Amino acid sequence: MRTADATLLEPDGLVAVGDAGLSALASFYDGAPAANAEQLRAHERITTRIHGVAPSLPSRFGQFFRDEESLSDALRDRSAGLLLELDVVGDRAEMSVTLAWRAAREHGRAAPYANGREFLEAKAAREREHRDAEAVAARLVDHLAVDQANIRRTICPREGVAAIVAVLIARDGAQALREKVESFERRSSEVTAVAYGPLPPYSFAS
Amino acid sequence: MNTSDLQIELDEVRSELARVSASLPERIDIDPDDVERGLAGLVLGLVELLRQVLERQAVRRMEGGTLSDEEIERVGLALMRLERKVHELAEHFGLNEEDLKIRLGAST
Repeated sequence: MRTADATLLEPDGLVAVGDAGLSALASFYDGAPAANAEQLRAHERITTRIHGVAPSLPSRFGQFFRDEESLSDALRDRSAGLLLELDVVGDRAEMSVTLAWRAAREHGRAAPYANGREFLEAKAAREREHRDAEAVAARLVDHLAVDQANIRRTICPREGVAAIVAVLIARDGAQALREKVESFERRSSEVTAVAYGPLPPYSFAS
Repeated sequence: MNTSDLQIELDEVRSELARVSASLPERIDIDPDDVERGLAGLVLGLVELLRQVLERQAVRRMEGGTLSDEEIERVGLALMRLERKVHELAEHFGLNEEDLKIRLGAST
């Protein structure tokens, strides 16, 4: 977050490392933190608290730096790009919409494949799923009437899920977006659509 | 394959490569402390990228009905073995699929 904004935050176990008008907020750890549910929830609480105070670019769980100096170096190297991202995000939050297939998709035979034809047919099935998922995600974006710059989409992220669409919204826009997502789901015979959030803008921070 | 088919095929590969190159980063970072692994990631990523371009072409041709049964089997087998080999080498260097994608910025 911007250094000026970082001064508004109660430290509460966080250390602020600043450079070039930016401050990174980090917790000390002895070794790398384990990726368990408790740690993930703790990380989520911290990023939500920070973003509740002022615009921020949350890191994904598990970004680890040896010491304050290496964090400061990383910040300095990327300060121009990060400041630009902070401008883009502004005082907004992220909603995440998960589009899940209503019916199981045909995947063809799974690896190991018995022959070359099986291999190509499985790849063809996956390409069809990918194309259909892109189309349904595009329909959702049209339905939400959101600018493309405020959208990030992940196509076929895991089995059964067509896409995850992240949308940057005004902080008070969560309910309106949720209602639009519900109306999209009612009209779609292909997918269910569930909105999560508001969240810190994870998908809009590189 | 006649000259016109070949031209269509070349145009498709060209546009596929243009699409892929548009998603490549301007710089590729290789960690100076781990040059061997970095180089392996770069080379394997490139091979995997080309393999995927060829695979898309093969799928398109199979679905378009322009490959005989024998050709489908031969091309499918070659691509399958190449994929397996890339994964084996990636594992040898401690790289996962995500590493190859990140290093090359390939679209998901």
